[in-house]
Amino acid sequence: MKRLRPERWTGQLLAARPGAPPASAGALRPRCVASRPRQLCLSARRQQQQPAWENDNDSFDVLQDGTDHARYPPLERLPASVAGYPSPLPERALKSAKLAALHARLSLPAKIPLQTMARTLVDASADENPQFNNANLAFVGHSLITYHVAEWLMCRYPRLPMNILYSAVYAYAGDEALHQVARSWGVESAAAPGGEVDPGLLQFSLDKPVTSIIKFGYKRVEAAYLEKFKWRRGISSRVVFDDDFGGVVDKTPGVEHEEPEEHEEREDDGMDDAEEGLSPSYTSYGTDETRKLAEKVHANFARATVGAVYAHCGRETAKAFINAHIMSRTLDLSKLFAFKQPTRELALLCAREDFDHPVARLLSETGRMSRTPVFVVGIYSGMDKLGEGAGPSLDMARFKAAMNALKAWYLYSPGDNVRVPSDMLAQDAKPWEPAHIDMGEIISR
Amino acid sequence: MSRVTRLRSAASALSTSSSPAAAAAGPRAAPATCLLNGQASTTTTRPQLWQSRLQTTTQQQQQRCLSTSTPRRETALSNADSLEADFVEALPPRRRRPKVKTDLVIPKGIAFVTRVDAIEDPSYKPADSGSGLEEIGGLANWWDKPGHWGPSKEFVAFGPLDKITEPAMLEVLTKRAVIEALVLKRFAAQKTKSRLAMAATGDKEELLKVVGVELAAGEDGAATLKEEAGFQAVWDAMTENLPKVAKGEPLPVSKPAEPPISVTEAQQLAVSWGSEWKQASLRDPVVKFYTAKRIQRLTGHIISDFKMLGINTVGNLLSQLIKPPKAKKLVEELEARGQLGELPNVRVYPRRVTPVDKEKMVGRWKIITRELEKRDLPVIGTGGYKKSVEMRWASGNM
Repeated sequence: MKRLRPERWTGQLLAARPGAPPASAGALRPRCVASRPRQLCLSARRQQQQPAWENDNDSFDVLQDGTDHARYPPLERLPASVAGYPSPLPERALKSAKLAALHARLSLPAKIPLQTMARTLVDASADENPQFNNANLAFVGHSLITYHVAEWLMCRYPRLPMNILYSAVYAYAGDEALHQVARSWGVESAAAPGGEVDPGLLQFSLDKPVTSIIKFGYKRVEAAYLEKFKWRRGISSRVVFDDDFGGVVDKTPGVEHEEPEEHEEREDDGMDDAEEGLSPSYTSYGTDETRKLAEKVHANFARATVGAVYAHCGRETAKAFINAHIMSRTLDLSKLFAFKQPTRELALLCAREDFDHPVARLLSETGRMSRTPVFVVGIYSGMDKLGEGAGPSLDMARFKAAMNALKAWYLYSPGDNVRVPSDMLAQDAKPWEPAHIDMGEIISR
Repeated sequence: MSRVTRLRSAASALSTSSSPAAAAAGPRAAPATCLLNGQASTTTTRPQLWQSRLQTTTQQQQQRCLSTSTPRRETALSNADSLEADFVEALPPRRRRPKVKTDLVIPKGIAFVTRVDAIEDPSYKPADSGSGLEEIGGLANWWDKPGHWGPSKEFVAFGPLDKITEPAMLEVLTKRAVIEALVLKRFAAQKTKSRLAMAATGDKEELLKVVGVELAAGEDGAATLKEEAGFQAVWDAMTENLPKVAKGEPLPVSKPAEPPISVTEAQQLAVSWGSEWKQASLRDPVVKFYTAKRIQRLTGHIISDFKMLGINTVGNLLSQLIKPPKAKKLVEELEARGQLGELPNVRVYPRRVTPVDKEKMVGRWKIITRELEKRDLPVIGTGGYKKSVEMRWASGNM
């Protein structure tokens, strides 16, 4: 895993906490973009309980949206300027029922203001300004989630092979898993981002996806050839170069799909060609690409929420939040394994550990001459049974038995309630007892 | 400013304005059926008429027509020139209108203006046509104009046109009406006075005197005054300031006055009485009728016969008069009770949340608007587009 520098994570975010001094006085002054019409980075307007336009009746120009305002007066008085904003103003967060409900549903501490919750719901594709989108919070959240998941997996299953560990971390902290977490929180998404949208809705745009950097990792020099020549990426190099899930960092930050010309052409063609231009995987829920983007956006929201919890409530609360919402999910680790030559691997293991050479013995069988025979084979090392497996042929049963023996080895666990290194950060932590450290994988991949 | 004065009649205008009009009178000698002849005569008579040689020419002319009736003699033509010249003198002498005593504003007589040739102002330029000139005078919509009706013709209602709706005020005036109805029944023999008293409104002093008498249910439950002396006292108060009317003269009509006490005073009075007097029965039809009439005079409420049947007590009467306040909207009720307003996860909207509002909340409305405008389609409503005609044809509804 990566070297983490927690002291540098959320200094600038902590400055946004109402009443709190900046993390490093003066050094981390929020950078305001001068061209931006709303300069809220100093959080002066952020802390106002009542938006300025609510009381300003005279010089108020209502947002004109083509509806009859005399018959249906707007439910929320919005200034005309919101039409130009890519995301809702932070003040509006205080009046959003959806946002308050989400805050309450997640049992978040009152320390986390609704404005920050509103910010976690704005994706970088909706608002590119990093002072108003959730990219920074998601970065913090992602680091925290992967750190806690990884340390827990390492302590809980010390013999996991590295690629299985990567898969397990991804299964807990990857986009698909966090997408499900965000969905289970009951977050609805807006149809299109904009200043007039309810701040309690997840806002992102599928038309102009933007890659925000939320992960550590280096871009490999040979990144272009990996795909082209199917170059091998060894596990050791993945640990050094690649991201937290062992994936290649090949995306340049910025625009993800560089097809602006194609988009323009499509617009010119009008309605008729729109359907032809769609991908074959198109359904009423979008294409594979859009679904993937939406998953990513939802995952980033979940990460940003963790980041917000950390920024406003600190380390312990964030850890508890990750435990409650992410690590509490069930993952059957034994399903992650895939063996090519389990018997050979088991033989190597026994040789390495000075066990007797493994021997497969037929324990029982039924229907050998029938259409569906079942053989039960046990693998023995001396007098110790390492594993047992059943299969429709003798070979398959032997392989199964070897796989089970290997899984039993790899999934060794010192116990349910293992201590993890971050437990030592608590105030009155007991002295650290060294965790079990395995000597390594049997077959390097 | 040049103006065309409204002339007395169309006929006079024709005869005075120009000679062709006089010539038009020429073919009147022939019946309307002989058109050819009429046209011919017009062409011949016009210059002759102008040169006052019409008489001889007309006599020499042979008039042929299909009609068997003889042409009428046109006497006016004989002195056409003098008629034109002395038009004003030839008018019949003005008859005197009989003087009518009325406060209605009646249109004035005919106004004459200076003839065009008699105007000495060199800058005056007569108009060539009537188009674009301001029209003054005229009798159109005379009676619709303000100020033309005299005050005597105004409608005077028996009760105030604006009904009194204040519950406390209605209670006070109802009590007064019931008491006065009881007294009027007692003194009905004095016809003129009781009729005058029925239409009186009285001042504050009288009101307080009347209302100060205690009203209660008698032994049989019917409404009556608690003390016998009250009848006379109320009658005195009612008849004290009545106008004097000689025998045979019609009773004076007066507008209903505003209630002489304020609403706060009425509320204090109503609270001080309690509610026992409202139990008194109003089964006596005479009392009930007098009460209804007094209530109409004092409050403007007309109680229909149907409702009158259901009114058996003073309380019933009050419940008919006092309208319960309009039910509040749910939002107002919640606001008044202070419920839900504090909850951050609940939003109470002052009106129905329309589908458009929902689209706005999720940000789709701006896209819908943009796409509709791109296609020149109306954003709200159907914009005059109807259902498909072909559907109508196919279904056989032509």
